[in-house]
Amino acid sequence: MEDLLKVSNLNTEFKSDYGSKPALNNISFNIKEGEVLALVGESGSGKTVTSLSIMGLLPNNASVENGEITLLSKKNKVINILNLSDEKHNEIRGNDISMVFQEPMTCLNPTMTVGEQILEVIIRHKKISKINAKKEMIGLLELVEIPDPIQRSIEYPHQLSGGMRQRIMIAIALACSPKLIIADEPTSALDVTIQAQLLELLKKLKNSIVTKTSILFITHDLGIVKELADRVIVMYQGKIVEEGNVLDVFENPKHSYTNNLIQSLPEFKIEKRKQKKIIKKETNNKNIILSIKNLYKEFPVDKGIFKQSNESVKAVQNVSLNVRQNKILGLVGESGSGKSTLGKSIIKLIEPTSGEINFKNQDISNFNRQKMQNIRQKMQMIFQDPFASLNPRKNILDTLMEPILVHKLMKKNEATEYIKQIIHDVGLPIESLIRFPHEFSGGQRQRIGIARALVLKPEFIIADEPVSALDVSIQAQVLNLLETIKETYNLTMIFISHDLSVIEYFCDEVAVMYLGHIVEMAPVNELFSNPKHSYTKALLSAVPKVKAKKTNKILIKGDIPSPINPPSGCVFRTRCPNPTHDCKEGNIQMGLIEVSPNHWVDQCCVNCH
Amino acid sequence: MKKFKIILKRFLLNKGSAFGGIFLVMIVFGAIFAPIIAPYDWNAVDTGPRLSAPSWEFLFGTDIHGRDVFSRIIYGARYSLSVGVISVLFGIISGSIFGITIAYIGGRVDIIGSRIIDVMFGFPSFLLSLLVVAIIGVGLWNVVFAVGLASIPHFARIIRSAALQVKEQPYIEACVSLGYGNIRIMFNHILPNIFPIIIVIATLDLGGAIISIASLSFLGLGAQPPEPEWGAMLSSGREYMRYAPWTMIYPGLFLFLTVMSVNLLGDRLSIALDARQSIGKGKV
Repeated sequence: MEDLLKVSNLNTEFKSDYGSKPALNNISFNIKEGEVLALVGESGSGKTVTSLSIMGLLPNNASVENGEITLLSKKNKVINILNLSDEKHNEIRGNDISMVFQEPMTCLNPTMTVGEQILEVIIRHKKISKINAKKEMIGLLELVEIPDPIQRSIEYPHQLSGGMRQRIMIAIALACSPKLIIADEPTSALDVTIQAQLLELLKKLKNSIVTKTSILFITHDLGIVKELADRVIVMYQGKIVEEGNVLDVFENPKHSYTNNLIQSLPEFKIEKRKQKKIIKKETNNKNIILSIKNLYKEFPVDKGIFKQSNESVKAVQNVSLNVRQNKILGLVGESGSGKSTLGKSIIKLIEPTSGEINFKNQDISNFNRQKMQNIRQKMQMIFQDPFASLNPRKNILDTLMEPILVHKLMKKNEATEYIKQIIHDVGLPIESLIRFPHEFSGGQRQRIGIARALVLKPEFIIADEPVSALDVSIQAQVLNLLETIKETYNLTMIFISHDLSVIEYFCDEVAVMYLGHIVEMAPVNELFSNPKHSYTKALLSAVPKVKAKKTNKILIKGDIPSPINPPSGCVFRTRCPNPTHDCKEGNIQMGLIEVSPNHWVDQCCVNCH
Repeated sequence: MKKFKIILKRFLLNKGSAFGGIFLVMIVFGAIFAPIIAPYDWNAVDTGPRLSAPSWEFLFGTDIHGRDVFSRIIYGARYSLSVGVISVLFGIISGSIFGITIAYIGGRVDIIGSRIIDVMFGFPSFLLSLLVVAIIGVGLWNVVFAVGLASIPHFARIIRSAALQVKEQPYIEACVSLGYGNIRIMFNHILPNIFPIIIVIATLDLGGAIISIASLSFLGLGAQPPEPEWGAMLSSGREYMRYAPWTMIYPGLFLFLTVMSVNLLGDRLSIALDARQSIGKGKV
């Protein structure tokens, strides 16, 4: 097999007022025809810069200092990409090399129909009539498995779901049968079940495309690499640290960074725990700290100031659960599941529509702002976005001092000493206190967020996707920190996440949510070894794993229904792989039934299977 | 410190803002040290022959009362910048309180508040100032108040937008979860984060405020004789424009240069502040 793309000694720099910053440090690699090469790295590793250098899409302040990129074009000529004028490069873009980006919403033109956008590429590079181009366009939509292609082609991007838009992006990339597709984290912004659909599609396409198309797949998710790629390159701080066949690299990583990356994966940490027979301390504490009964939250849909709207977003529907002292309850679900809304309703950042919230035997659901003041000390929250959850205008000392002063817990001198202790506990140096949020990395900011949650000496913490925005190796560190402080500060937690591996590693009990309902709830080992609800099973099989053997994937079709109009009866019936007749009609009511000690499943699935 | 040097560099490299900066520094210098720099008493009648042309003795000539125009211009600097600044300060402080409050409370309060702003916008701001002066009477400080008042809807609207955006940020949610009161959140958390925008719109409006006040003084509603305010000087020089144009040219010229400098600096300031925000963006 010939080399399709050859990168040699590529050096790319970014210029700023402060001087030049190297982004790529002498990297060399090649892609063969028809192979899928995965490019793995964390933030700042240079993987996106690599793809942009190949496409010639670097921003103005970046420049390729030296190096060579050669491409074997469709006409079987070897082209030196870096020497191309912008015009000649335009001939190649979309034709020989095409790209799929991460955010499907911002990469599709909102003012053009999706059909027009695919047509544009075809007409630009191929000399065929408009009628034939349209036929090709419909063919492409069928290829990427978009149902009802003719109807879809005249729709606009905002009318399609995220998964559909990404399929459109793939269709645009495939339009001119390119020799190389660069996919830059194409599934990172999608839900797990939708991601599984897309990965299956990519696998099908990889095996069926006539003109051997190579794929350069950029990702940070090692599970996807294992599923999809033939070879893998690992990048770290602008350098390539490892290269090889996927199986070889995962079995025998040569570089310590690769090894570290693999070991940081939650699935490996769980295995290590099992091997070392570390048993989690079973607290026999049966105290229920938090008890939620029949909680509902609906957001009315705005239809203008004066019109009365009957529609509402049914974010949380009839949720009941108990959290025992010192336990960690995980809430897992995809977008629209209501897990974040539930978390915020519990600490009353959002007022629930109805239902009971009993915190330490006090019903706080009707507490107003003033009454909540005391409760707030005991219930704290860790937020998802490390960049936006700290006030950029306050230094860390102020951010941590303010809650103490507002609640009059201590005097300023005492407080300063206390804060120094907390900053030390979260693993940051004392000098951090005089710095501002923008001087810290995401992982460090999340530590500060944790410190802020601890400052009022709470008993109960809701962590809303605290590690979702972090790189894998940083995730592992922050999870370790959370484990430590949970023990040290004697906390009870609710841990919200969409990442099942993290939940499996971290939590004691799990509740799976779908469209505002809890569909299954059980202790963690029980749920992961013996899932009963169809959705849970599909969710578990959809997660790309590195170690697990190839199991049959349960693929659920279609997209998540809108929470404004959820399906009647069992909300999962529109996507359930084997619904009964009654279920399909919408006759079955939802409600949890205890099928084994502490293992609750929605009754629709219990009756079905 | 490094950031500050970079911002300063950005300012000085641009010819417009460099000129604006230097001129304004001169004006402020002149205003502060007027008693030392001005060769004559600005109010002394018959300092020299009436309506005499510019000469080495009287750099900008003399006016109808024989007063030295140059000295009057220098003392006038005290008025022109300060009244503009005070008027803008009044408008921006009121506009901030109003805008942040209605943005934060939201709901009906926001709807009513926005409609009030819209109604005030219906009046051309100049007319609004005239209306206020008609009610409270003439005088320099009355005019300052009127112009400030008329600028409130403009500021309130922009500040409200900015506050709405900040309100959505997670760190404001965090404040609620930590049990902070509304006033603390509004003025200790939201306000500092919209500060750059406030500075920018205040600076951009400063030139307009100076002109509005000078215009009202020109109409006789603001500074009253013998105050050496440049707008009033323009007005009194009108009668003698044909044979003693220097009584109008110099006040007009200085007004023009001052407003232009303020605008040039304001432009660069908004760009520089924006850039400063992006210098500080962090990475994971």
